Order: sequence, then C-alpha cells, then structure tokens
Amino acid sequence: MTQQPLTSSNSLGFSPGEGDVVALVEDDITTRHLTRTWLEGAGYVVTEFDSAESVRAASGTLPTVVCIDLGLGESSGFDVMNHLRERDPELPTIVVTAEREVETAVAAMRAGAYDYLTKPVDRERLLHSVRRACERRRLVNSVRNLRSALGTGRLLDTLVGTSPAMRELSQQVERVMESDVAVCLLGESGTGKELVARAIHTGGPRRQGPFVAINCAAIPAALQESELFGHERGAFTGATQTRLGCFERARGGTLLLDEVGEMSAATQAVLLRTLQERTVRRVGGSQEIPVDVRILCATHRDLRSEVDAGRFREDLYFRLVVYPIELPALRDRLEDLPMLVTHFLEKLQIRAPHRVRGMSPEALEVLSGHSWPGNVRELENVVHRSVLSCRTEQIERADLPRDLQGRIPRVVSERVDDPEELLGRGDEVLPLRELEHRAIKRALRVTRGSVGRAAKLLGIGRATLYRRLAELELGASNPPGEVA
Amino acid sequence: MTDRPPPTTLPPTPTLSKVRLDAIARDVSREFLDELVALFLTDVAKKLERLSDVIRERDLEQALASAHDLKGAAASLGVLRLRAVAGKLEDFLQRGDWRASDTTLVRLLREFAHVRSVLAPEQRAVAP
Repeated sequence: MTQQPLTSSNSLGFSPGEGDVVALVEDDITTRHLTRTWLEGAGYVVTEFDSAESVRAASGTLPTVVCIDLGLGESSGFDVMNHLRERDPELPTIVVTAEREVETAVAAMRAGAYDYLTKPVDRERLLHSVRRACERRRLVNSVRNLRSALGTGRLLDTLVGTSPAMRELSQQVERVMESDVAVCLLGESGTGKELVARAIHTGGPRRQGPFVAINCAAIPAALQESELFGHERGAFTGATQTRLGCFERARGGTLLLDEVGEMSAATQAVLLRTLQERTVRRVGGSQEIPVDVRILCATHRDLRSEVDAGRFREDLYFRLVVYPIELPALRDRLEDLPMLVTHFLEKLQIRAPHRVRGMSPEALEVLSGHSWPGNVRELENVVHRSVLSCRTEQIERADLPRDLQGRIPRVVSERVDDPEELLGRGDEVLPLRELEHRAIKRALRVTRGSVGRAAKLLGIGRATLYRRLAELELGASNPPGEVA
Repeated sequence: MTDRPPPTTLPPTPTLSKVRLDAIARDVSREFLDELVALFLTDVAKKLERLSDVIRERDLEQALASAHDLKGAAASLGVLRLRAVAGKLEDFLQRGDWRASDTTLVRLLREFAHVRSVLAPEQRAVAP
C-alpha cells in the first residue's frame, strides 16, 4: 500500500491548488482513475490515496472536500473519515458505498458525512455533490469568520427558542441545509415539522426553487400517485387535462412528503423507483421525465416499527431516512414558552383588534403547567384566542381559554398524610427520586400550588420544577371544581 | 466446461452497460475509455488471480474482500454480468458455501474471458 498520496498538485500531501482540492480515497484503480478524470475535467485539483494508511501518512493543508470509498479493503473508510474529522470536524466528507450497503451510508451520515454516493458512481451526481460540498466549505469558513467576529453563535431565524433542545435542532438543520441528504423529520403533531422543512429549503442552495409540501395522510390512496407524479390527459375518468404532480412542480426545489408513513403500498413502490431513477412517469404516460428535487419527509409515526410491521418498505425507508431529525415536544422545552408567546403576539399584531404587548407572569405560569399535547400549534391557537379575549395591553390569566384556566398541578389537592414521614420511617432509606417527589409535593402544598413560589422554596428555577413535575408525572390537570 | 449458455440461476443481465461506456466516452473521450478498459482488464486479471488463490486456501475473510473488490471494479465500468456473478460469489461466501463458491469462481473466470473478448478495443464498437 502506498504511504504517500499517489498523485497530487505537488506530491507533498494535502495541498491547496489554484482551485478547490478534492482528496480521493479509493483502493480500486479503475474507479479511482475514472473519478479523478471526471473531477479534473471539472476543474478540481485531485489528490489520490489508495489506502487509509496513505491518508494518515499525509500532512499539510487539508483538502476542500474528501471523497472516501467506505469499502476500503482491509482498512475501514470510517477510520479515514474519523481521522480527517479529528483534524477538522467541518471538513465535508462524501462517502461512496456499494449499492447494497445503504445502511453503511446511513451510519456514515449519522457520523457526520456530508453526502453519500452509491456505486457505480454517476458523474453528474458526483460533480453535483462535490460542487455543493465546496460551496458548503466556503460557507462554513465565512460563518466561522463571522462568528469569531461576533463572538457568538446564532440560531436560525425561523426557529424560535433558546432551549438546549432547540439549539441542538438548529445545529442539525444547519448541518443538512447545504447537501441533498435525505432528511426525515420526526416529531409529534404540531411541533413544526413543515417549518423546519422550510428552514432547510430556504437555508440551502435550492432556495430560489419552489418548496412544495404534500400531506400523504390527506390524500386518498387512489389519488396519491396522480398527486405525486401527475397524470396525462385521459389517464382515467375525469382526467380532462394533463396535470403536473408534486415532483414536477418542485423541480429545482424541495419536496416535503408529510406524513409519509400513511403512503399506500402501491405509491411506495412508485416513489422508490422515482428516487432510484430520479425520473417520474405521469399516470397514463410513457415518458420518463427527469426531476431534480430535494426530498424531505416527515412523520409522527415510528417508521422503523412500520417497517418491522411490514407496512412500510424497508428499501424506501433507507432511501428516505438517511438523516433523521427529531423535533422536541413543547413540554420538553417549556423554557421557550415566553419567547414563543412573544413571537406569536408579534405575528398576530396585524390582525388583532388592539395592540397586545405581553402576557402576565400568572398567565404564563398557567401555560407552563399545561402538557401541550398539540405542541406549538396548540400554543399559537391559545395565544390567538387569548388576544381576542384580552381588553388590555397584557394577557391576564382570565383572558386564557377557560379549559386552560382550570389547570393547575394536580398535587395541590393531594396531601402528604404525615409530613414527618418525608424522610421515611425509622431506619428506612428512600430512593432520592422518592424524596424529591415528596419534597416537591410538600412545597406545592404549602404554597397552595404556586409553582413559582414552590420553586423558590426548593431553591430551583421554575422551568426546572416544571420539568421535574413532568418527569415525576405530577403535572396533570385538576378538575375545575378543585381550583383554588 | 462446455460452451453452454449461462446457467438459469444467473440474473438475465447483459454483459456490458453500453449506456455507461458510451457516457464515459462522451464525457471524457474515446481514447480515455480505451485506456480505462485496458487498466480494468489488467487489474481484474490480477484480482481474479488473487481471488482464485484465497478461495483455494479457503481464506474466507480475504475471499470476501476480493470478491467485493471485483464487484466494485466491474460496477465502475458498467461490466454488468461480471459484477452480478461477483455479487453471487460474495453471497455464497457469506453463507460459507465453499462448494457453490468454487462453481461460481469458474463462472466468474469464464465471464471474464467473455468480457475480455468483447471489450477489446477493435471489437467494442460492435459489442452487444
């Protein structure tokens, strides 16, 4: 095995040329020769390596992009990837796998690869991916410069919240924006899956193209194919004219397949073929129409379980769920509530009968005690309804919808039979979780259910207390009759 | 071995992907394709030699890696049936079926001889 790069711009290792430098790590000579020629033909400087050892032995400046065959003989392509990412975590890495090893590609994407290609590598797909990766590299460099100038990180504009869950989401979205990697957005209803899909679209290179979203659950199985792939005139009764499907309408842009778990088996088969061939055939048509579309999907279901139950095709699953992004439920980021309320108030100002500037702490506290099964969408509705009821500049507890006003932590009505038993009887040692449970219940009892005051007495933040209430399953609603 | 048609267990795959070869010639040049074909034939001959050795030695790990390499090389140039037979060999090896692997290795060698005959530059223009 070669210990130095086989060829490079100046044979010293990773060295920048006039243009972008692509490091090619591939042990098969035919593939390497072909790939190198394609890349050089497109104007890139190529540095070749035929083994993981030769990459490790190389020193000098890192390339702009690295393209790694994951099936590298005895040494693993993953090792190369990790080695390079240790030197620079932001180095865009394109991995190449055999067609039947999509699972390996999925693992690589999760480990931080920028994009993946399957063998035999298609020239257009390769050049497209490398071009995007180089753009990404330049973007990362400019963001780095900007961040160091500002001395701070910046969340995406459209995603509201500063909780750890939202920061993590923001980082994941930033990572997938620039590539065409298949992202699957997972989350409960109302968590903002379409919003995140739009953020991915508008933040990426396809922003000038259309964003098309289709809700598979809202379309009867018989019409799904026609909606997605279009139909020719006369394809079926009522098809009086040719109609473009979502794929064609999203050409050059992004297509979101919402509630993809509800797609019929027949449509799944056609979708798989479309993703493999990157062409669509309209219902009743015979022509293969090329489509360049980024596919995002979303679901509230556990797609892996759907695969195991035989309701969702495994091959399609691997194509669609390369990079899963989980959206946090609102109850898991209650610290974002005030910011979200402000955001919705600003958004509603245009339609509101008068200006509402904020929400009282008492009203916010009531909102913090709710479990939000409908997530952010439910919150937006609540804020909207409250604005309509509100006659002043600030939403008070009384302005909130009636069903929410009645909700205070259940523990108010509960009694610790004997407060002296807080630590357990005699020599009994209670688990810390149980002690915490009792302490919280007691604090809420003595403060008559005021979470704010209870948190103060316990020496923790209010948001923390709400989180602990949810974790200890203490935060259910009271029947209206028991409200203090 | 007699010159029988390929066994029915093989996928009905053409020898070469004309589309892929033509695309390479179009995207780069006909001369480059000739160069690539020559490189491929030399490399695959070496790979087959190594594969035969490790199968004879019953070295499963090396045999799997060699079959996989061969499959990748064939895929790269669009040598479809050779790739399919190499894939079959990989399957048999994964199952630890040495007997089927021996038979498939023979098929692979025959297929390579066939590929070499159709890929020779003067014949490629009329290749199936």
